[in-house]
Amino acid sequence: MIDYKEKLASVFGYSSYSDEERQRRSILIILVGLTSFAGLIYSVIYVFLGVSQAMIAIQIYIGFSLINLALYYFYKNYNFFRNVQLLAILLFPTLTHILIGGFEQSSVVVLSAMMSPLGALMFHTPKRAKVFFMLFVLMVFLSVIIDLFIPIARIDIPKDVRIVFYFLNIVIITSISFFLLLKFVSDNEEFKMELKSKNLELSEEKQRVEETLAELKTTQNQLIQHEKLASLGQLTAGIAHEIKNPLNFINNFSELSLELIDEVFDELKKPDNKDATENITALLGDVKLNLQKVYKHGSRADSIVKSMLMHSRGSTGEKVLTALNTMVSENMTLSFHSMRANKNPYNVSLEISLDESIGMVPLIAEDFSRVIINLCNNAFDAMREKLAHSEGYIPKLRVTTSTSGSKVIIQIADNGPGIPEHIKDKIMQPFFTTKKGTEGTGLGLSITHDIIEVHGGELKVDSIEGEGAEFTIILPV
Amino acid sequence: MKILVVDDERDIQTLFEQRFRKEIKDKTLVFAFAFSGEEALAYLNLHEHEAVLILSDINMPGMSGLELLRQIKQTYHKPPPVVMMITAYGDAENFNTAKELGADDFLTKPVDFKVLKEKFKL
Repeated sequence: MIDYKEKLASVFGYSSYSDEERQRRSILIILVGLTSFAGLIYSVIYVFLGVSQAMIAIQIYIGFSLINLALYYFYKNYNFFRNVQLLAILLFPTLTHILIGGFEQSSVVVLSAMMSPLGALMFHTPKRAKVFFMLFVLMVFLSVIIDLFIPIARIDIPKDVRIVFYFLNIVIITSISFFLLLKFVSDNEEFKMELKSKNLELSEEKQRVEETLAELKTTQNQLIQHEKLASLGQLTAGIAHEIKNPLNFINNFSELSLELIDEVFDELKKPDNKDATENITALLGDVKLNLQKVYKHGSRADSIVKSMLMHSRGSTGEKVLTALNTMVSENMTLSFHSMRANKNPYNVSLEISLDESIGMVPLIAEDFSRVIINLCNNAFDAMREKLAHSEGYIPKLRVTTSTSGSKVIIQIADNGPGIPEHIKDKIMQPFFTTKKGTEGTGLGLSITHDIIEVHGGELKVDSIEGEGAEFTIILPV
Repeated sequence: MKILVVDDERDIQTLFEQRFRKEIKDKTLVFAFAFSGEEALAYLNLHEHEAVLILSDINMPGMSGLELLRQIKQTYHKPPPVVMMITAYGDAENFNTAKELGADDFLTKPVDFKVLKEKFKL
């Protein structure tokens, strides 16, 4: 049977369709064959009974169906084929009704037109089936009108023959209806079972995916932590330098102040005169200035340690009003010193231009400082690369803050080798790195991008190969 | 004796001026300050052979102290000024590079001015 259907499919050219569609088309073709065959048997019975006039309608139907099949075979127009066939199944019983002479004579053969809407249900859309059903009702109504008001030739058919045909018509038509309904219900049942097992499979799959996702999240967090530690390690040397500078001032200015205070005491021991007062005032003025310096550099060291802690510690995820300009310049300096303190330091001219109108901006400070450090680190790495290959090249890093409407813009631009066009859309992907060996984790830019996204901002990249790269952060305030 | 101090930290001027206020007062020491390697070279070009001693930080944006040292030792042959390097890192790499480039001395931050004064008297 399957081979037979496959053959039909290849003959009528619908092999490439889905299993279901192939099945449907095969059934319709077989149905055409079967109805024609059944018609043939009916007509033989009629001939045997001596009422050969009744054969005309059946012969018309058989001829019509064969032509339709041939058309389908040549033109492969399934839509035309099924519509015409369903119409034929609808019209043929009415025609028989008229030719034999009414309901009684034809043993309600008009009822078999019901196969047309039923067929439409199977081979067409429910909408089309409704149309065919209405046509069916119309046909029955027409048959009634003809029967009641139009004088037609009524073939005299013996009562027992009529009763046999009643039996046949009722059984055949109700059987077809019943089996169609049965098939629909069992298909539905099967479908439900399938759905159930699919649902079960899906929920298992979902659980697996959820577990994998949880694992991935853990790994991602570990990787982020790893990246953080790696960048912290790189920064340590820079941080040491950054702390030693203010410490240099704190130590020296406080020691100086001690000396100055001693001098004040010396002056006080002198007999009271005008000079002493003047000297003491001058000395105390210096002490005051020095203490201001001590305080200033103490605060500076404090903020450096704070920013270092920010790097090592997990993020609180809370936005806090932060002095954006200070954060940007501090972290740029930190990145610069870490470059200077690490392998292959080189000279860079730093250009920083801060828009003083930018005040406090709500930022997740721990996270956002990494954005600046990552972007600066990348710029320094890129420029080192170019330095190795080009003569007379002066590396230059430009960091700018500005405002545009209600947005704050931070730009970090280098005059390094730039980003090749073919990797431009990959650089934000996790694990993508151009740094050889163990130098890069490939997470820097991806994390940077994520942090900016969490702030509701945007990270743009502009680059001309060979001339440099410019990263622009646009933040809503 | 004229000393050129090179450091990107501006407060270094106040610090030196106070630390050496007595020497500045009785004019045994004269200080000039430059806040970048480039500024230092420009100063040296204008005041050739005036500075006898150059005191430079290593880590500065733009031209680093080591680059400045290299240029000074290449350009100013006779009499070569004494160049002392100051750095926050006491690491061997910086120290060796500075020595190779001809640095006369090497100090680490925080600067011990007693030691520095001793060195000046030499």
